[in-house]
Amino acid sequence: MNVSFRWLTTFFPLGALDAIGAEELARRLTLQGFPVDEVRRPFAAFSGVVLGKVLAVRPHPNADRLTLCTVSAGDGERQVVCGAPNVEVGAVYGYAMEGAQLPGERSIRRTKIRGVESQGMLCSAPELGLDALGSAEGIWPLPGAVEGDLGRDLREVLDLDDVVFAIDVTSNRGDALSHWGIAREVQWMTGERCTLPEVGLAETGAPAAARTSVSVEDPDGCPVYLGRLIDGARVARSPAWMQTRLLAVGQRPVNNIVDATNFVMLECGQPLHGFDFDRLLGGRIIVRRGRPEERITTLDGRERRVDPEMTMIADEDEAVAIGGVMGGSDSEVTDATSTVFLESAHFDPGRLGRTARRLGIVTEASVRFARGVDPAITVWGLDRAAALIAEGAGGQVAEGRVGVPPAVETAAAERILLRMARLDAVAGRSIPKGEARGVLEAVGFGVEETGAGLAIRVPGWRFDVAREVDLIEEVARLSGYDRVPLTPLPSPPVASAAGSGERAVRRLSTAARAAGFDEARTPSFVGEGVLGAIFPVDKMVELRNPISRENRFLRPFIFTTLGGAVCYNLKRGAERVKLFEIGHAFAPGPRTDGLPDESRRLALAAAGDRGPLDWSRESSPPYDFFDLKGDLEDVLWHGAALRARLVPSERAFLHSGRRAEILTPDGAPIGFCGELDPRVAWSWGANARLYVAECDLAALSSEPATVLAEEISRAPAVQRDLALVVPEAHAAAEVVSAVQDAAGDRLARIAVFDRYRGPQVSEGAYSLGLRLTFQAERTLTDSEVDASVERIVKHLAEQHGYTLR
Amino acid sequence: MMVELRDRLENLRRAVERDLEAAAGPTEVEAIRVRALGRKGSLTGEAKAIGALAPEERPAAGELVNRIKGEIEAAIEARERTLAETQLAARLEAERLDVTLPGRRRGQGTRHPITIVTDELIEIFRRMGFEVATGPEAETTWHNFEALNIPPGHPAREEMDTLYISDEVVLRTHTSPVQIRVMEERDPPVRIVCPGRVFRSDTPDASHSPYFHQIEGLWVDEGISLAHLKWALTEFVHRYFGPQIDVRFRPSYFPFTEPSAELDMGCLFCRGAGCRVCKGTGWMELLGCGMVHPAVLEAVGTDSERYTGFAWGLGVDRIAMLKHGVGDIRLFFENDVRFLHQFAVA
Repeated sequence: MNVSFRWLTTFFPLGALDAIGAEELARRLTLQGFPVDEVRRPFAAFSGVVLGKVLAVRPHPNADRLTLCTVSAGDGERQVVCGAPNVEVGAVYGYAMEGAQLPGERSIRRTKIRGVESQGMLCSAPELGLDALGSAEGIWPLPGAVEGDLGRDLREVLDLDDVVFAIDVTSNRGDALSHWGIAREVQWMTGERCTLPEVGLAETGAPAAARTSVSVEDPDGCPVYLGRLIDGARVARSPAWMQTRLLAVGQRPVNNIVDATNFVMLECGQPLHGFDFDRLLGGRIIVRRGRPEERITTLDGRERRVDPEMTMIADEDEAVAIGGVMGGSDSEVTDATSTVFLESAHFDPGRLGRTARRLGIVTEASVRFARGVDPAITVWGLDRAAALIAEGAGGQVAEGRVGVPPAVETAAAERILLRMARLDAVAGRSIPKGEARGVLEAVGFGVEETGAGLAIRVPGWRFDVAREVDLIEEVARLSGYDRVPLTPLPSPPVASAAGSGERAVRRLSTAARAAGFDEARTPSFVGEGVLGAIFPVDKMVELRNPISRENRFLRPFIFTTLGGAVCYNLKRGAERVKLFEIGHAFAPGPRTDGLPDESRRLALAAAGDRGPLDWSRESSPPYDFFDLKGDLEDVLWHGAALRARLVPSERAFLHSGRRAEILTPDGAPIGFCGELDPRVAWSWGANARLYVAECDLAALSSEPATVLAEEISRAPAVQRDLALVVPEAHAAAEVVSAVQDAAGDRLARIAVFDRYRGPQVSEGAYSLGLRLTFQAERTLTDSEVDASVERIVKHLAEQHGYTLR
Repeated sequence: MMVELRDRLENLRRAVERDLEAAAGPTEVEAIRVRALGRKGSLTGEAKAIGALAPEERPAAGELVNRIKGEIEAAIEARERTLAETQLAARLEAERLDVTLPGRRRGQGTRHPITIVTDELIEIFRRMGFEVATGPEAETTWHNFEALNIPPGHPAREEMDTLYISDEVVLRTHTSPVQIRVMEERDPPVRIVCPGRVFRSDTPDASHSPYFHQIEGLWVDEGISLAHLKWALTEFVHRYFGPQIDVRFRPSYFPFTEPSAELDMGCLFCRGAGCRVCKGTGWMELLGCGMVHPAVLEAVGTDSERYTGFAWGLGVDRIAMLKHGVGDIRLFFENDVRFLHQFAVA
């Protein structure tokens, strides 16, 4: 909220706040829980401009469009040449005298215009830097200027030497959304009492109660409802002082009725609303709940559906406002309005908050009512606004208020006990009773001493204080957090150890990085466009209010966003991208607590060249499936001591010929890997082969078993190569395991060194080159090894039909 | 007789030395050796001739021949060594590389800057006795709001810009629900830090992202006060940013803490003098903290008279931006490898 320093001073005896100064006040407000984000001077600098009244206007002898004005600045007459078409005899203007300095480094000197001397200038609003208050087409008449101010400095009369604070008022302090509220917070710094200004309301009209009435049928939603009638108000510009006051805090002036209600709201926090009385059917107000299927067109021109949870302001026929939220367009005050019904009410914060939220309306009024406005201020606010309208719009205020006034507070009002021992225990220092009492009273709490503490009466405007701990904060805050000592934690604890989940993440991250993958953190959201028809939308968790359509779903797998990051890099010219991510992915329930099925997962994604550019080689081969498989095996082995097994997969989003399920040695599925279906990469705007692997982290988080070292044989190893011809339908892994089954203990290692398909092998078969390493505890003779190989070959031929090539 | 023999042998030695001098390679040296010391070599001949000498002259002659033989052998060996060295030097010279050509790198991957900063922060808190706890990113409204003293209709609930999955399930707007999950499971003392991803329906710009990272901390025990909070978090700032950094606690409001505070630290860029980054104030907002609201303890069935505690939450992304001079939060989620590769050692 924007708070004007000059406006604040109006609640205090002259000079009380100036003694502190604007900058210091901003600092103290910040340390008191009202952070001042910005301190600025709202008005442009100028000098030498006074209030001048035009006494006479004559034509310029040498120019049709110019006039000669006789101007009085309270001390004799001067002649001013004026080019504005709107200059009027008897009106008061900003008169820039000789020597005046205007914004934009413009100096005013005595000069001759078309042969006639001009002693200064009458100013337009933009010439004074007040663009919002008038156009450059004409000079700016000062509404509401008084004779006694002629010759006085305009800056002083309009209080333009102001400083405005942008205060970030926390959501619990609705009471501080006004100048009066801030004045209450700072009063204790001044040593003076802050007081509301005199209203000075003259009730010159006939009694209001004879012409209108209020009946409140929804007292829960609206416990206080007061109204006044003002006749004969002429809708026009507000007095200049009010316009500049509003402008200082960033509020654009509208007219003398709207401005007065806004002014009073910013002054004391009470939102007000004006109705065109002649358009209230039956001439009375009924406060009731909304009716089923009821509709109202609000001031912003939109039709709103209301419901019985909402409090409506109605006439005898229909709703004319959504109470405390927004008025209806039919009963709006217009230029044609002759009688204004001015409303000042209190609405239940909870009910009002729900209403505003359901309708999606945020207004200055709804924000304040939802956070809580002091019910007692309704009376003063209403009278103050009526008086200002009467002053600014020349209306007659009818005698008396109509409606339901706030309850008079009884002496038996509820009190909260503040125990001194509890205060000290939470605040961490011993705070004397007198000090606690002093700070609480300074911001309006009623305090009575009891045995072990203080009995506190909470003022009506403090909706945030409900229990003892709120008072503890109040005392701690006002007496200063800086006075709380620094106390080391009791019994200094030992450093905690990392949990098993954390350790698993660290191991896997280290292994993935060692395999050349950079860690990425990609968005959590995907649009259906990414997976297109390949991934069913009903397998994804949808957000009800996504930030955009492309972010509608929670990612079902990490690769759905990690792959996008790989493509992003390829498009930016990267030749080789390898990324990994450990993060959360989501699938729809079923879970009893209503949460989606959420899992923490590890994903690898790679594309582009296998290795970096190498000056000693022609070019790097592209990264392919077996690069991915090798990387995956390395990561799972070094990161989780897991020897993964890959078997063919049916995942629709993977290349139908290059996809695999990842299994543990026991055959438990833990994830998948493969080349992405090209259409997925296309949806990311990349025409590249993308390789991904993804595992559920839960399967990789168990603590690896302690390694028990096996003795390594010192006997020499003997190698034999076999080239087997195998039917196409037999996968390499089957062949290898067939060899292992046939070989017995002496086969220490087996490696694939070749796979061949072509003219030298018959149709429907392929050749697989295997390197067998035999080793035993003693040295094996050649004939022993030959015998083993023979046995293997015989077994393979008999059992599987494999032949030697 | 002896004199003649000596002259011949000396001449032979000199001749061999001369020849060795001229020899260009091992083959020539070998030929010289054969000529002098071979079976039919000149020195071998002289040795054989000793037998023809008078018996009293034989010992001296034998000695003489052996001496000269030894000298010739030494000369040959020396020459062989020299030649081998020259040859090796020539080979090495021929194998000279341009060491400024690029090396073949295996290309190890880097940690993400958010991970780096999270790990650093966690490590500090771990040493202060906090252990790591985590929770789901999709949360019940009860854990994310109600249990944290944010009932439906609470203004703070609207300010959070929550992303909803259903009426009862949201993407967590802060890491605070992990507090609730842990306290539901165990009784005080509870000392945890909870890192994780959180969500708001913010339109992305240089300082906003709909997903970002927080670390939540919680210490609940008997006898914990605001003074402990001040010590722990001041200690944290000093350990992470340096012991010279100013710290101040400023009253603020969070529904789940009371009293609540913002921790400001002296601006890292201007050292408190006032600059663009700190908007001229000399201070930077670092984190929100406070004493755990009794209503939060009561929500998880903890005796709020017996136990008190403090909690805080800090934004990891913002700290990473400050520390590493990253001007746009979106860079963290873009994952441009040129950006990531800068964080090789950290």
